[in-house]
Amino acid sequence: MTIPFYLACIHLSTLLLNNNLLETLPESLLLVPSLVKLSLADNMIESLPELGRATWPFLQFLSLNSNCLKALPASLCNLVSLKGLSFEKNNIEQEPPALGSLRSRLLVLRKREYFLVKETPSQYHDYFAEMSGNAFLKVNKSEPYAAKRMSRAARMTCVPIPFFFFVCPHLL
Amino acid sequence: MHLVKPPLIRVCSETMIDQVPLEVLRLKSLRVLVLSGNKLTSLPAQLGQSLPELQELVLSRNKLTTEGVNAGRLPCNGMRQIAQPF
Repeated sequence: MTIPFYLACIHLSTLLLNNNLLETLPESLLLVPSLVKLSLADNMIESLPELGRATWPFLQFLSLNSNCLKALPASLCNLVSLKGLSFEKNNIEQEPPALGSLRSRLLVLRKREYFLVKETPSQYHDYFAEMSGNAFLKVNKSEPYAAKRMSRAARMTCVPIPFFFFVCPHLL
Repeated sequence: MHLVKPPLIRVCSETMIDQVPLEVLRLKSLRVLVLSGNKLTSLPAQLGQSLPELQELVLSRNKLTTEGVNAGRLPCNGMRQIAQPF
């Protein structure tokens, strides 16, 4: 059984709690399955609970920037509607395992700059994950080339792919 | 006779309030409530009950704690019971 999207939209869909004093995720938020956008940025959250598939089935954008997270729960991949995920400036030391399964849906971004991934279908350009400012992104010995390339890409001023081709149509 | 339409949006930002004003909780049909840049430490327990139509709640830049957010029952309309998309 699927529930029509508008049914979810007529209830609380946007909740912005950025720049507060939250130390953990308030449990009451887990009881609001209608959420579409949730910002918890600039708080002091150290960990997230496991998320079930029914917790936030419509959540599209989740911001966890500037918290004290040490890890992301693997169950993050249960957020089946997720389009945008940002967790910049945390203390995450290992690449979150959930990213593997989210990667197919989220185009990896760093500091809001797109990686130019040739095989990325254009419909994914609205999908992103932001994760700079975490320990696991520092030079990775097993993949030195990839890490170096990522940091160089982060320094470059990249423009979104559609905009690039809009400005330079002759390159299409 | 004047029929005053109930407001759908209420903005109370940067007003240094430390509680959600009671008059706001009387606006039953409110869709958007902006309370950013205040000194709120907790949400009123009757929040969800009072504002069942609320779609957007902006609480950025306050002093809300985890307990303070949990104190306010957010509008959820029993979606958990009926939403079984998977």
